[in-house]
Amino acid sequence: MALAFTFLSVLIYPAAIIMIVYFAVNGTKKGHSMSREAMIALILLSATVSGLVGLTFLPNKILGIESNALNFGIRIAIGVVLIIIGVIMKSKIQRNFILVLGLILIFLQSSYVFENFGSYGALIVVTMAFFALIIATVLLTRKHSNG
Amino acid sequence: MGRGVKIVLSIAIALIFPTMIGLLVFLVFPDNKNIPEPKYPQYTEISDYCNGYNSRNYSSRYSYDSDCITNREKNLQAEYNEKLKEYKKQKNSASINRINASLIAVIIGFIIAIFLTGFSPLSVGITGGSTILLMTTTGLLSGFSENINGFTIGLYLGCFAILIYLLFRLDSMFPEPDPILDTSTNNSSPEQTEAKKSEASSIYPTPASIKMPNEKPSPSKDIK
Repeated sequence: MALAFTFLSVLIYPAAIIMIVYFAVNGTKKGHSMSREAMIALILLSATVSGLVGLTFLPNKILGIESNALNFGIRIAIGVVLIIIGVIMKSKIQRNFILVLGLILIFLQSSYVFENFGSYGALIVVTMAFFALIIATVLLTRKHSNG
Repeated sequence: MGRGVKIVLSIAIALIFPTMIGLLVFLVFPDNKNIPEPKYPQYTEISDYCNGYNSRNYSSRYSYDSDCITNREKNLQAEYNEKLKEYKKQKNSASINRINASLIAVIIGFIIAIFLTGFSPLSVGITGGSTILLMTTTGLLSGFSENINGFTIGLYLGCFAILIYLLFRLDSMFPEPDPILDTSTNNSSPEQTEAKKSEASSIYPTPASIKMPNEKPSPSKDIK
């Protein structure tokens, strides 16, 4: 977890400044006034970090749950709820953001699966990913053939 | 205000805001340097306790009460570990207080950004500054992940809630400007603006200039 925090801070600190410059210049070239994109990028960046930290530690530090398995389950549940909310959303930015946040939250839990279940955990994660890919491929192909 | 000036101003605000908050927090919440660090138990003290003489006395070293020394060493070691734990906790509490104060500043920064509607350098700068402060705070938190308490996580969740609100109200608070007729970003003269307007009317025809399919040709063409 500490490594993830450090990685986030080291990577995102210069990225924030680069984003301000890039979007400010690009946005004004397109004719946008002092860059709506910069605001959106900064808000999304901050919301991702604060959301990930807040939601990851929510079961343990606020709800006071000590059990590793229960923590893991609640985090997965929050991730799934976020994905469902994201699918329901109509606006493109909010939908994509909430979807990605939910996916990252679930993805971050893979370390707990490996720790608790070892190689079986790896097998569970890979099998789930495999079936998710198959279902997604089948659904997309069916939609394509109908359309 | 020119484009370059706006960019420089927003970056300057984005850099100065976290620096200012950082300095303020460091001054208000001093590091606990006055807390004495616990001393590791010394072997001479243990031997003094058990035998009543100094172990550095080479000639008497074989007369130790080994059980007494072992027990005393265990007790002192446990006491030292407890003191060390408490010392680290007290030391970390100062840092956690600083992190909490910075997070409150981040929340205030984003609330200010909510009220500053419009893409001024101030709104972009304050949002950027709050973002940088949030990242720095999260980075600092990595060193104290064992000591994170519910209040800190509550602040993160509060920050997240404000940002989600900001995201959902983005269109109403920061409406997308007209890409063609927007004159707020450049220093174009009224003539240039008129030229842009005529260019816009050629791309997007006005109702008067639109010809209907069944419309009769104009008289000028009949004369020809």
